[in-house]
Formats: sequence, structure tokens, C-alpha cells
Amino acid sequence: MDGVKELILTGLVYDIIYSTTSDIKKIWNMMNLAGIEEYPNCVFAFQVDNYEWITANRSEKYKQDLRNSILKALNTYPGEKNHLSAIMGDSLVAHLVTVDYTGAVDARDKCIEMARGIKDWVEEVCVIPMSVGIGRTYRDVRNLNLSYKEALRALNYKFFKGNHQIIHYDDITPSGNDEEIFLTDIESELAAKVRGGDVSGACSVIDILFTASHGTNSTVVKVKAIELFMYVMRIGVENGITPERMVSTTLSYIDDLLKSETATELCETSKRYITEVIDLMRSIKDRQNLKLIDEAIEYIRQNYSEDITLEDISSYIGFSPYYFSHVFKACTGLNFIDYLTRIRIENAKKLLKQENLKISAIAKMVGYKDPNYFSRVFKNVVGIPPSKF
Amino acid sequence: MIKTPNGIKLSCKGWQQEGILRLLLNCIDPDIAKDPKNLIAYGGNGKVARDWDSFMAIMDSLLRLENDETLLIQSGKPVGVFESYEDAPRVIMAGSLIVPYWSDWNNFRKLEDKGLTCYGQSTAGSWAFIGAQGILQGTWETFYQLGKAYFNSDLTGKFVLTSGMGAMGSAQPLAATMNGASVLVVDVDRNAIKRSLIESFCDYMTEDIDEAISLIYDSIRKTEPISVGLLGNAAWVYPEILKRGIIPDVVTDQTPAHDLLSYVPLGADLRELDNMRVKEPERYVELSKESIAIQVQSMLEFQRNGTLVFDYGNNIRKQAYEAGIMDAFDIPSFVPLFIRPLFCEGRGPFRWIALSGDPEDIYRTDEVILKEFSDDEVLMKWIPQVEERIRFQGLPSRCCWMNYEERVRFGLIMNDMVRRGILKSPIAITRDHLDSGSVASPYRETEGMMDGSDAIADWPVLNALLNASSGASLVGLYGGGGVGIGYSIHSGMTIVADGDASTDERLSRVLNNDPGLGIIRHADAGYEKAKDIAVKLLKPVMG
Repeated sequence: MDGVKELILTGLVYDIIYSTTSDIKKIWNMMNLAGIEEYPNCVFAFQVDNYEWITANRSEKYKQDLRNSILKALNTYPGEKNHLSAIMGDSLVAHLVTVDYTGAVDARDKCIEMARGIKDWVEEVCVIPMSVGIGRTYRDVRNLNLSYKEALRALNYKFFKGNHQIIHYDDITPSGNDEEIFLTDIESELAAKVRGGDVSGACSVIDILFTASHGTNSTVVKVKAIELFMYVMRIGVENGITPERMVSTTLSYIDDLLKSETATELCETSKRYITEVIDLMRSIKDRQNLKLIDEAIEYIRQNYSEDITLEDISSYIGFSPYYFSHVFKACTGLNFIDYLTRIRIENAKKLLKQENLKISAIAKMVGYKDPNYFSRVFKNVVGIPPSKF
Repeated sequence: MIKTPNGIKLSCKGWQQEGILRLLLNCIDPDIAKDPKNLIAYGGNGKVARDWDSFMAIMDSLLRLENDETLLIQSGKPVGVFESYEDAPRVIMAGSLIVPYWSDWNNFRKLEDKGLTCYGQSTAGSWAFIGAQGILQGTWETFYQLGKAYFNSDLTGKFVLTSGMGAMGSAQPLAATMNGASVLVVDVDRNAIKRSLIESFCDYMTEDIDEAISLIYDSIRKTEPISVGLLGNAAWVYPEILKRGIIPDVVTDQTPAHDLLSYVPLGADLRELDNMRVKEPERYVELSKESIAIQVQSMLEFQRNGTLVFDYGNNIRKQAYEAGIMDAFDIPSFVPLFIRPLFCEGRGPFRWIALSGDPEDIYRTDEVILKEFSDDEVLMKWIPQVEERIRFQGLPSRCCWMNYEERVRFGLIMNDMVRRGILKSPIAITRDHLDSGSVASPYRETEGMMDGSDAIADWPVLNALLNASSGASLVGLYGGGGVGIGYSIHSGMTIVADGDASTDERLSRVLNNDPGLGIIRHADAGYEKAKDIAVKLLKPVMG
């Protein structure tokens, strides 16, 4: 008989929440059958915090038992006469309550107080962290489908407030146009930072993006974040990361992204992803640069006797003079002029060992037109003038 | 918040007092009342007691009232307990009454400011208000009778154009569709229409007149009823519909035309009008009159084109007349058209309330009605629909229009059900003041009486006196309900069916005499139907 009553109760909750009947007498008759004496007037949505983490690597039976234990706790809460609850999803249970209230403010306060009592009870009995979304009160039980939707929207706000929350629909900021979150100009700024390898700058832009999305439906934010990941993925491929590598990296972060329960988690996941992409791009670039600097060194080695300028060599490998200087120093530890001087002087030393050559001729052979200038440079580098070497 | 007690446990010294106490508290239940903190139940500022001190004193008096005592209430204030006898009323009231020469809003407000009176509307002052069901039932009955009288008892496929979705007008969309009609309701207040959508009283909202008309025609073609809330001003929409050459089957209006500062005129945005209402009330009133004139001219044009047009008791004709529409009164009132034939047979707005607070008690009484009164087609149509569509507010209650013979028969059945424990606790039987013999209101219920007795106010006074001497539990006489101070005098009554055998006699007397007086009043005015019933069932002294 208890089983039958349970079925009736669950059916009643679903009928109310999904508004399957507009016949008030039919609802009353079902309430009678279920032994419910008062019409509920508000819906609470209970959700297990960190559900993915709690249930990771656990059996389906464990998950079912977890949901049933929440249901049982709700249905044995000592502060209530009516026990109207039903499982609505993996980590979600709807609970219909009856609140005595005079006006909207009074209703909000009383619902929050009641939700706190029930939440504490469920957490104590089930030993799991919970959050609660609270819909508005409706005197007509047939409008509780609206209360349920509001409870879900309130619960969704947990995404921005963090776990362990009791959130009433009246307290959430109405979300703006979901289409407008993640503004295009900010996205462009992010792209520039990523391309420039500026990790801290890119992370600051991510903070701005997520702040701008506050209050928006969490699913929409996640979808937008995925779009952002795709955008960054393209930048990565454009900058030399192989598509295979880029896809596998991105997918692993998208998995984390989908599991994020709060905006903070999602923001951190996004930052980690972007940092990794920038690091990958940087290492690719370093490798590419190394190859080019090798070519530059070879060029220097073959042409040190000529009048080589910074402009000549950077033009030879396709860099700007400024960037070439920067990369060259990063790869060799020396700036271009110092490196060229070192090559010239090393070769001059070899030539000086051949007794039949004059210093003025050697200066010319290693790229110095002025023998006096060569002698000064040689002394500076070697410590003694070429004449005494 | 004071919660209405329910169940079988008595707080007072008898069920007569207990029933009255529960009805009083029910009227300020937050589920029912417009503004419980200020003791306002409904209808502008219809109060259940003069102030909170009076309210508490009434409660205290009722709790201590003996079974042979009578508590007197003067305009919401308890003034004394008198020794009477068991069958006498436990409460007698008079409210909002002023000597006729001084009986207008200005004088009333001055006296109210001095704390000498308060406005009880109709069922707020007599503690018989039951929430939206009462409003819906009255409107449903009007549309039902309209269909019966003019459309072969079927409004299916008929286009009803009306306006006003606040307060009394809120029931129009549902009442019309429950009778099968396709109804277009115009309102300037988006929130009023949205509220109606949430309550499922209205089916569809639009701001586009052409979309609204298209929806109506689609519904007519499919013969599926629909209610469309059109956001707009009736003074613009009515002429626009005329311009398009569209002639509805029925046109009426329930805007707050009775109050020119509440009516929303054309030509300015709502914020601007809100400012004007406060800063330049005279200009606002002028604009309202101009708009009402335009609206009524359109209503008259519809009438000339064959539409059934009627005034729904909001004084729009008088306002239009004063604005220069001299033929405004060519539009008939709803009472002579649809309601008076019912009054002639003592049929009126009967209601009962389950003091147990248990909806099951009302559903059991519904079953009895469906079984015992199966020959009454109105009841057979109303009860299943109201059971399905309308939720209980506060104490569970039911209302329906019953005639002279049905009322007493059903009252006795309910008393027997209480006695036999079929119902969990006693039932309070009461009614609206808009009843056959209980009101004198020349702009509404008694407009156009056959003998010209529209303004004769003896009848409601006689009604109250008769009910008191018949043994009603509560009897009261009031002024100004519905149409404002100076325009009406009306009486209320309640009797508690407590299951006691001796109550059968009281119920017989009250439920015979109360509607019986209505039949006599209409017979006296010359209505043949009332004369026939009076001769057959009552003891008319003359004619």
C-alpha cells in the first residue's frame, strides 16, 4: 500500500510541476488519495553540490541510492505535514511546500527560512552538500509549474554564487540578452592577448568576460565558453599547433568545462585552457625561431667578412629588426652585434696565427674596413692588441 | 496575519457565533482580501471593520457572546451586546448609512475622517465575501442568461467585445468562454492582462488589433471559444473595430467608468496620466469624459448596426450623458435585460461556506446539487465547470443562482448533512446583496422597474427586518454598495446550518422569507411572472 501511495504522490508532483491538468477538483482528488491535506503553494528545487565529483567512478546504483536518500530525507522532514517530492534529474529533486504568508516579501522570507531548515536536515541525514532554488509562491496550485521554473532559474544562479546556497527567485538579477554575452570587442582583445602570448593579459580578459555574463543562464554561459574555446583553438592552429594536438587539448578542457558547477570553476578552467594554448604556441614559436636563428647564424658565418647590418640579416630571415634582435638574444644569449663581433674576432685570431698576413689585410678579411677600429675591438675582446697576439 | 480557524473545534459558545467569526476572518484572509492589513476585503476600499481596535473588539465580543445575546455593529464598530433569545440574530449591523439629504461621498468622507463611519461595500461589510468565485459566478450568470435570451442558449461562435480586466471585469474572459463565446477584452493595463493569463482566465494577449480580430474570427470559424486580451484603450479600439466594418454580436464594457479618475482616457501615456491625476484632477476628469463619450458613441453605433449592447453597471451611460451624449441611455442596463426575470422567480446569488475549511465538504454539497436539482439546467452547467476551473480561496465555498424553492430545500439538505456527519462541520449560508428583494439601486439592480419604483428604498429595509425576525444568524442594512454612497441601499444576511434540528425551522423561515420578499417586491411592481409565483407560493396581501 505504501508503494501505491508513493506512486500517487510522485504522479501528483509530476502532474503539478508539468501542469498536466487544469482540473482543480481532479488535483484535489489525487491529493486526497495521497493523504495530502493542504494545497502546496511553492516549489523548492534541491540539488546536490559537486555531484559529478561525488559520483565520479561510482556505480549507477550508488547514484540511485543517493537520490532516494535525499527523497527519503525530504519526506521525513519533521517540520512539514505535506511530503511532496519527486526526483527531477541526476542531482535534482523538486519539493512542494505549503507556506503561510501575507504578501510577497513575507512569502520570500518564510520560504527561505523553511528551505534552510529542510536543507540542514537533508545535509545532516544524507551527509552531502546541497543547494536550494526557491520559486515564488502561488495561491493556485495549478501555477506551481511557474514556481518550479523559477526555482530552477534561482538554482541556476548557484553557478555565479558558488555552492551551498539558498537562492530565492526574487533575489536573482534578471539576466540580460543571452545573445549579447561575451561581447565581440572583448573577444577581439582576448585574441590579441593570446596571439601575443600574454598569459596574464588573456586571463584578465577572461575575468571581464565572465563578470559580464553574470546572471545569465549557466548553460548559455557554457555554450558561449565552448564557442570561445573554438575561437582560441583556431588561433592555436594558425600559430603552428597541429590540429590533432589542438583538438585533443581542447576536448579535455571542454570536459572540465561541462562539469563546472560554478562560474568560478568555469572561469578557472577557461584560464587554464588559454594558458596551456599560449604555452604551446610559445614552444612552437621558440622552435620555429630557433630554426630561423640557426639560419641567421649560418648566414653570419658565411658573410661576416661583408658589411652585414641588422636590417640585412633580419630581412634575410623575414623578421623585423626589432623582433630579430629580441629573438636572436633569446636564442643565443648575445645581441646581434656582439655575436657578429665574436665571429669576426674568432676568425681574426685564426688568421693572425698565419704569419704571412698583415693586420690591415686581416681586418678587411673579417669585415672591418678600418684597421685601427679592428685593433681597438680586438683589444677589447681579447685583452691584447692584434699586433701582440 | 490572523489565520481563519477551521475544523470542528469551537472557539465561541455556539456554532452561530463561530460561523460568523470564521466568515469575518475569512474576509481578511490574505488569499481573499485585497488589503488585509487595512481590513479591506475588495471593491475599492470595502472594509470588514472600521479599524483594528473595532476588529479586535468584534472578535472578543463574538468569542464571549452567549446563545441568547445579540451583538450590534454600527458601520464596522461593535457598540453593544443585548439580551435577545436563541432564535434571534447573533449579530445585527447597519453600515455606511447616512440620512438621504446628506448621503453623498463628500459628506461620507467627512464623517469617515471623524471616525464615525466606514465603507463596507456589500459583502465586505456583511462578512460574506468569498473571493473571485463570486465575481465569476455573477458574470457567468449574466452571459448565460444573455445567451438564453438572445442566442438560443448558445454563445458558441458569437463575438463578444468588452473592456476592463481589473476587479469586477476580471471574470469576463473566462465567464464568456465558459459559455462558449469568442471574447475580445480590451484593457490599457498590461499587468491586468498578464495576471489574467497566469490565472488562466484569459487565453491570449496581444497588442495588435488586427491579430486580435483574426484570432476571434479563427475561433468563430472553428467554433472553439477563445478569450483574447487586447492591450489598448477601449475608446480607440471600439471605433477602430467599427471602421473595419466589423459588427460584434455583443458589446459591453467594464472599465472603471464610474470613477473618472480611475478610467484611463485617450491621448497621453500612462505615466503622464498618473501625474495629471494628482496634479490636475479636473483636466484628467475632462479627458476621461471625452474618451467615455467616444466609447459610448461607438457602442451606440454598434447598437444601430444590430449588436446587442448593454451597460454592465459601471455608470458609463451617465458619464457619457454628462459629456453630451444625449442618447447614452438608449443602451439598456444588464439588469432589466437578463437579471430581472430571474429576480421575479426569487432566483439570486446564493452562496455557502464550509466552516470546516475542508474542500471535501463543498464537493459533497456539489454532488447533492447535481443529484437533487438535475432539472435546473443552469446549475447542471455551472457546477461541473466551476469545480474544474475555480480554486477555493480562504474557506472553501460555492455560489450559484438558486430560486425561491431551491434555496430552502437545499438549505435543509445541508443542515441534515451536517447533522448526519456527512459534512465535517456546519455550513454558513449567505448571499450577495444583489438579490431579488434586498437592494434598491436605481442605476443597477432596480433600474427601469415596471412601476417606476427604482428609488424606493423600503424593500431592502423590509428585507433586513424580515430576516431578523425570521432568525438569520446575521442581518445587516447598508448604503452605497456597488455604485457608491447615495445611490443604493441594500441588506445582507447569513444563517449558519449547524445541524441542529431546531435550526431547520430557522432555515425554513429565513430561506423562504428572504427570496420570498423579492418575489413580492417584483409582483408589487407589476411583473406577471412574480405575481404568478406569489399567488402560488406566498401570501400576497394585495394584487
